[in-house]
Amino acid sequence: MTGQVARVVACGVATVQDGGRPGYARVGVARSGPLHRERYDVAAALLTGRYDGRTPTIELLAGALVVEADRDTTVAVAGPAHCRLHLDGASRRAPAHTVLALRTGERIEVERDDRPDAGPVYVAVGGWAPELVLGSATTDTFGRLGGAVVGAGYVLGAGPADDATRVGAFWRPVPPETGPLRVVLAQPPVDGIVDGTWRVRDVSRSGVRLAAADGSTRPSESVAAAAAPSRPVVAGTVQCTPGGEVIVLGPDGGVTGGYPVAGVVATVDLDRLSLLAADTSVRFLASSVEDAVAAFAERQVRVRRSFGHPDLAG
Amino acid sequence: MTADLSGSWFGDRAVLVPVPAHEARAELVACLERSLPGREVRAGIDAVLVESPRPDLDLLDDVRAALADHRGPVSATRARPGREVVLPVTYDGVDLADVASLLDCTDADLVAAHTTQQWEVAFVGFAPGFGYLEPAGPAVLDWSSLPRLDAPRARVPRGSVALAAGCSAVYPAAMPGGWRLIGSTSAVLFDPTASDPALLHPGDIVRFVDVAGAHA
Repeated sequence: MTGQVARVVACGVATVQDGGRPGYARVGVARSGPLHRERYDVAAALLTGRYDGRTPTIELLAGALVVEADRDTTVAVAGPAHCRLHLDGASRRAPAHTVLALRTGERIEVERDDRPDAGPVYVAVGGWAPELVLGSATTDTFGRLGGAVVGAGYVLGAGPADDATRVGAFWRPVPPETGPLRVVLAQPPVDGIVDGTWRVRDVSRSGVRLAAADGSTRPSESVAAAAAPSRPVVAGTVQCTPGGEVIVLGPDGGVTGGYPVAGVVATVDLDRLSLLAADTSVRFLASSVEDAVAAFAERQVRVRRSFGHPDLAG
Repeated sequence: MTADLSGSWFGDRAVLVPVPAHEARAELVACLERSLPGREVRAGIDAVLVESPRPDLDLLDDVRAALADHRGPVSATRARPGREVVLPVTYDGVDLADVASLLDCTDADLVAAHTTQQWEVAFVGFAPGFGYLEPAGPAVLDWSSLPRLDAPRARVPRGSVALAAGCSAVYPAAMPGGWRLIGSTSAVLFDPTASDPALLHPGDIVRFVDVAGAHA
């Protein structure tokens, strides 16, 4: 089936994201993908029943999003617990974290939670099949590959994607993890990472920049000044800059980096990086690999059990 | 440095393997890719990284098993022989004179050295298709004495031919960058619509040819 499923009528800051672009790291292409993998997975699973990272979504980072259906379709939205939706202008309220039917000509408005720590919202639309670049629809903002920056007028083109059959399926939001960000430390450890409090300077798809909350220059200048050769990095890598700042790499942080590495944030806490608001404080906690892997597996089970549909709990 | 040559954890879903100077990175990457399907393998200057899509407690043992096979008495054969890639260059870079001065030679000496030198693709990183080219064989000039710019440029033009920290490179697209620019090439370094998107692969040998000199 070709043509178009829907159009974006109004949009804040948004890109197209699927599960990312694996398989090309050795030619310098990052996996990229969603800033908040759990919310992405929830939107994708509600719509398609699949966790394979192949469902395209709109990742909304700021502002509101209005999408108008050009044919009968279905929509699944995942975001913060209090994310609100409106159908047909403001006339009908609808819940997020469920599968909604959208008739031709109807509009759905995603009203992002306006709290600064609300984080991204993911919108999956049945039958939407954007163009793939190297097998993925993801917009890699650093490598400038794929997808698009979504704005008003963006057309959601139709393809041979499967349409949702789970209208009414839902998911009960699982509260975000709390406490310090768990980090698997590099050896030898860099002084000042886990015993300091860090202030968030800014957050983007490239990463989170942190400065020592007391204004001191951490980590130790000697460590940060040591020129490191370009080495492979992954999302969550905690880098120390010569200026004393810390950068935690996001999905578009590149495939190699030249700053000394203090450690890597545990995968279970990666999504939380997208919830950090500027000028708030964060701390790090040293974690073993075993604990980090176990914490991820436990959260995965809680998330899957929160689906109100038997197909999706697996 | 007491690096463990059999690899160590880099977070909870990746393992970093230091690469000794005598070991060919391209072969090690190819071997790990063959042995560890579903995991991503990539190289840096002195290390190779293997990443799983999700946290993976088996990864370190799996990598070590693959390394034991690779470094054992019967070493894996090379998966993909290095090709020779010839890149036409116009030596008109904005930093050409500065680089010549830093290397204590004339502009013409620099161009002659850069085109005489054979370069091997050590790895592709930083950005899609960005190959780190190390001198293959003896260095014709003391490339390693050349530092990066103190402050990176906000935008380096696509096709810029550059030098820094002992390596040469070509910028596949316009992007920020801190290397010193000595010329430009019209070659397409990265085409995401091609079945093989990158022109340069680890192990390839690159020769630069002076376009202007060819007509002189």
